[in-house]
Amino acid sequence: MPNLTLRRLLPDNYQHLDEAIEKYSREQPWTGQASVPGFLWQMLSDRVTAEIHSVLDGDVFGFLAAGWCKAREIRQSATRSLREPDKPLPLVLGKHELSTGIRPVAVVTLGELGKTELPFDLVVKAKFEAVMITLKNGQLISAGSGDCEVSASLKFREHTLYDGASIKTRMLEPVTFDPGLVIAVESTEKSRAGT
Amino acid sequence: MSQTPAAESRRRSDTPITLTYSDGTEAARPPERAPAANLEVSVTTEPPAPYKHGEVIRFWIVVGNKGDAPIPFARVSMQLGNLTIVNVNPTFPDACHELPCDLREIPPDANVSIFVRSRIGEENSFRTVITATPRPPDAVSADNTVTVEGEVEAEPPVNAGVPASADLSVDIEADPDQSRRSGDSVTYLVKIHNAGPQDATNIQVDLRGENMSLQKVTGACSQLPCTVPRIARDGDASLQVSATLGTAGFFRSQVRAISADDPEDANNTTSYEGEITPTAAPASTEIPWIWIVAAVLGLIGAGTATNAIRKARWRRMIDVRPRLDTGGEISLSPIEPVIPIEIHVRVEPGETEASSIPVRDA
Repeated sequence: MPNLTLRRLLPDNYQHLDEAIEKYSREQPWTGQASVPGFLWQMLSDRVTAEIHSVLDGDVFGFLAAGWCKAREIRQSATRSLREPDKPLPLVLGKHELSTGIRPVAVVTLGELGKTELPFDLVVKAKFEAVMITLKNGQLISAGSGDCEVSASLKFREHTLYDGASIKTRMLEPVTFDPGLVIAVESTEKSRAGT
Repeated sequence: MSQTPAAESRRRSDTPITLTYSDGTEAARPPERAPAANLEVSVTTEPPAPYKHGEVIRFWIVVGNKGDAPIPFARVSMQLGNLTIVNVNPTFPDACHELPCDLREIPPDANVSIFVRSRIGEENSFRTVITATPRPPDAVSADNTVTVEGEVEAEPPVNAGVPASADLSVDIEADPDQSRRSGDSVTYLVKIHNAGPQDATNIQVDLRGENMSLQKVTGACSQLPCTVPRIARDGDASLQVSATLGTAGFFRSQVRAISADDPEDANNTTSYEGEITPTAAPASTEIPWIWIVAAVLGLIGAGTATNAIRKARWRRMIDVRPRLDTGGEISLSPIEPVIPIEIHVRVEPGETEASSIPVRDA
């Protein structure tokens, strides 16, 4: 059974997104002076929602992995993995909290009116009881066997569109990253590991 | 894990006692102790009790070195009572996948985790003794062994000793694409098959639901639990079950079919389970098609067009084709704006935060 997708943490539609897009668009040169029928904003809102959902239809743990890649403790372990090239370094992570931000930007071209960008802010929060990850060559290559509570919130500029409650989930199948996710290690550690 | 009083007494009498004194000119120094390894085993069991026959439980074995010298080698073994190992460390290709498991050097203050999934057998309790034996032996061996015991919940009679005359199995078919939101209704098909060699009689069918409520049962039963009088050899009985999903999170529907004719009930239970996602936000009170119809009517009415579409620019850009069909009803073809709308989404990374993360080598 596949893992929970990020899309599943979000509702099908967002109240007042059309109004927020209209308000934002009125401030932009592209439609500032145009007389646009009201239904267009609703239509645009639906289309933008569908497009954003389509890029979020991936494993939620895949999105959360970006948070691990920047955590200090994981960076230290990544440094260790550089010292033994090509050797997987399996780790068990204990209880911790993680928050990963994702910024979907909908680039909208509306005929001769031109192009604009609609910036969204998505935050995924997770409280892990335990999870196993594997590093290799300073990269995160897989994660598996974890239990956590996860929630998502979505904003369009200053408008909070959705702030979901936490739901319990578990990693039903391991997530692999090929190529691995690069973990930022100190440059001095990189050069030391390379010599 | 415990010592007898005699052993304790002997241990005390063997303990060397060192006396130091000082003449006041130089501080007395305690003798220096050589670094020593100290292996310690701890085990976490999931899920907690109560346990059932056939249930898979996971042992998280942590072999740690609490000493100040490395442990060069350790062998981890499990004595199993009414347990069968399903797998060992299934997600780590380089870890050991069977027991006993030989561990290489464990540095001071480090530990190694081993995950063992075991299935509970038919007896009413289980027991496992997990031992890690270091080489060379460490000074304190009392913490090298952990015993885990559990009672197994009594279940309805499983007809032990009755010769098999039928072999029932349960399968569930569900639409993987059906919505799984809180409050949604889900429908799935339960198929009970009898592989023979004889007919199965008086089949008791039961359902246990977690975070879902049963709404309707059709087919071989009209409610659950129920008794299906007979399933012929190589025959099937099917039930269609409708249920309402509960709150966001995990849900499960476990269906069991047993008969006195089928003492081997390992394949008589199956589950339909998954994740429930939160309910969609309340839908907007504005219905887009209403606006679209309003716009169309505005165009049809020509002189009474709405403000939004009155402008010639938009009239030119929007193509609507109302059509009167032979039935006398007006049907509208889908409205596609002539003005092309292109949307693509790029994803940029946002801010990430993490609390302190306890990290152990697996």
